[in-house]
Amino acid sequence: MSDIEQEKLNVASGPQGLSRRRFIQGVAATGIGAGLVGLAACGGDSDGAATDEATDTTAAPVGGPLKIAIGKVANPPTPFTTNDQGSLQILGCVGEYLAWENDKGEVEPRVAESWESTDGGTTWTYKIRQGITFHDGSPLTADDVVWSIVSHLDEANASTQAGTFAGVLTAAGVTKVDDSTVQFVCDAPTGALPNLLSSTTYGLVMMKNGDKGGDGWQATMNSCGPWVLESYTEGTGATFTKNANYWDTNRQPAFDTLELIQFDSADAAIAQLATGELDIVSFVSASSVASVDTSVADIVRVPSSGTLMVHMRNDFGPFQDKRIRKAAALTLARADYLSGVLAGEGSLGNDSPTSAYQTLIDASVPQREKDLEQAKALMEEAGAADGFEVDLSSYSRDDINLLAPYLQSALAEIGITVTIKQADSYYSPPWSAQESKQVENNIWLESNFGITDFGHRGSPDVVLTRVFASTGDWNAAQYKSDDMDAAITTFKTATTPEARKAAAKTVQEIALEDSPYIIIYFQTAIGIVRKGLTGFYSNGMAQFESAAVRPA
Amino acid sequence: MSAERDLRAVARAERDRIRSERLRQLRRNPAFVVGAVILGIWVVCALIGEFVVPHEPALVDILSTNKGPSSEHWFGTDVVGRDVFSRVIVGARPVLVMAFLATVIGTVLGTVIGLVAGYFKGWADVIIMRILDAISALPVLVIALLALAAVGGSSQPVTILIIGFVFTPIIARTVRAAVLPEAELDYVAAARLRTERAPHILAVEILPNVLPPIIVEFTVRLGYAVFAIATLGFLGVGVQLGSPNWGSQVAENYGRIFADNWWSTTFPAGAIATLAIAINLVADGIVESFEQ
Repeated sequence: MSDIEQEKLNVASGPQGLSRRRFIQGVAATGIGAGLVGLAACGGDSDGAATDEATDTTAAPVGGPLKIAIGKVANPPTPFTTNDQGSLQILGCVGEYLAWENDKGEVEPRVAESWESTDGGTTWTYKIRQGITFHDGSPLTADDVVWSIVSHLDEANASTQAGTFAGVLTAAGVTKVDDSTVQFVCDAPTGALPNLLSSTTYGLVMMKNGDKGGDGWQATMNSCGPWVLESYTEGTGATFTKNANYWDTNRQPAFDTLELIQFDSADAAIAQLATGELDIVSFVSASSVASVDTSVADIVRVPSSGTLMVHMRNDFGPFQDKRIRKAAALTLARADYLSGVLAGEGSLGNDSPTSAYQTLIDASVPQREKDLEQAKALMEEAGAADGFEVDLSSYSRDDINLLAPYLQSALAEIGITVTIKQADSYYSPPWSAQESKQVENNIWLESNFGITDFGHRGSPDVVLTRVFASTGDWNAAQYKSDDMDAAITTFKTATTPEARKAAAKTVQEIALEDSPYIIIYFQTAIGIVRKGLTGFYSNGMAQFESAAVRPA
Repeated sequence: MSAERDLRAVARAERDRIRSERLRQLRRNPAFVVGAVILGIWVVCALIGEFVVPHEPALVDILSTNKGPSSEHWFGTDVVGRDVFSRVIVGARPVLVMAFLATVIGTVLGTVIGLVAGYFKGWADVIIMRILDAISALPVLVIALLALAAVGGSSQPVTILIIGFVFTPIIARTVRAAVLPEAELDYVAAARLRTERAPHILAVEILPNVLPPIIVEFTVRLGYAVFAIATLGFLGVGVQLGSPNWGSQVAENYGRIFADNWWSTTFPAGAIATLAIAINLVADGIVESFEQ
């Protein structure tokens, strides 16, 4: 067991006996995702294709194509523009990250051999692996690593990943120490930096020094991953050949080619897997699991902090009054939804991203439950006893298609008439909430009421920074609270598990009181794998292990 | 003038006699009667269904998901616990209204274009028919998807217009074929000699005499419109999530048909089938009555 794994287990077992230094080195470096509620609840198990088999990767090459169904590619699959499931899944196959979050919530070294903090979480030193080459044959250097990170922090590149580092890291803080060492100096102690620099910040694939990671990069996809681009067709998917020079000999692809095929609905993909047209469906909604024929396929489950977040806009429209927002949140029977609609695949949400992490949950904060009486009283108090009409904006996706009618039906109980408006254009500019106008455009950052899918993160730092902080670029609710901002800062800069948990409690309490967002549940990441294949798993972010897939 | 009035009266009486005879034939046609009864049931469902269904169709009961048919839920419940029977009954309205309106649009436009092309012939006919040929070459689904992508989101009016637009060339071609020989007949020549204007000749003289093929085409197209709307609903085009549209009900549930929930797909699919069959039986009956 490596030091990192050892430290992860310490974290998972609870904060007792952890020193401050150990917290910084261990908790942060390995991903607080190890403490995910779902992971504790179901142990990250799988039905059949055991994830542990992913490490047994020394089987002889088998050739042939490996065909995997991926999600919708809504944005160009490039480092700067990726912002959806399909595009980040493509990057996860062709690209290589400093580190990779695995199915256990651990952060595995990849391009980085190791990392450590020497001053309590402000300065982080990464040792860069030698002998890695780009797909074009050129060697990966420390300069390439610096470029791959710094270019996201350059405002001119408008990277979708930049918001993750707001208040955390600037371009000036990223420097090459020597040919095998890169140093990151944060704006403040940041225990979660290794998480932020890992694959869950899905645009941070390695790029050659000087390459532009925006629209156009997808023509070559020159990175260091186990698969080399052969062709990419917008709206269809991508084909890759195996990278014979891939640095990790234990994870050399056994298949000659990889085909990633885009599907809007997992149900259609599952049907194709049953007929042998596909080998793997990478990310399946819980409601689709029942349709899997387990005589031909195995179900691989991974707990995650990924969720569908419902925003209620604070600065204009019918949800400005927090009593109305709380009333809306009180119409929802979360546990019943989880068990009745999702067959128990997931963990309960409590309207704060911190509620996904076992180590951050304070039992003294009550779980929000359905309370129609209180909801109606709040509506009356807010002068909205007669209800109102509002659009619920989103796009079509299996899990969203279940949640939206439930919200519509539940809110009708307090007189709110919801019209569901779904369109592929839901994710449209502006890309920053700070630039959005006070209009109802039925798009993500300019809608009164919407459902947005958020991928898993090893710690809640990213979601707190980008969604709940007043300056967050993904703050679709336009929620502005000095108390919340202070709590988030305290949380992010906490250097002990106790301090972090205490700050998480404050965040949770404010989130319940102000209710800018509704979080009903956190997903279980589910993959469907044709029988006879091992080694596949999809992490909570929907990125998947494809290089290590082997015949059983 | 008096002789002409007499002739018109005789013609009217003859038309009434033929109409009565056709209605008698239809009543004696078992296939037509069965089709009309089924169609009538669906029309009643469309008109008053929402007032008589046992459950609110949009009500999500998350404690009753995937329940099989029972005395409480005759057609069972779907994946989020909605009552399938209520949704099937209420789902008749959007399908029938959209199909009817789309067919009316297609028929009106097609009739006007067919009358003009068949009556004027020459360059007007050639140009109109080539344009219609080009439109006919495009499948309804492709046009619908392109148009709705351009408009953005899902729009019932746009879906209706698109289906009507696609039906227009087909109906226009049928009407033109009927008008071509009709325009050569003496009564049309007589109308021209009376210096009646072309719109008057088309609307008053020719149209009543080409109504039978138009009626047949309308009923046939109505059946196709039901299928087109159900298909677009299945693809998620032209309907909003949560709509009881039969096509979208099938789309939302078909993945589980061989697992734990066959009823949520089978009943709305059966509704589409029975409505389409009913309309086709009615259309066949009308065709037969006109042929005799």
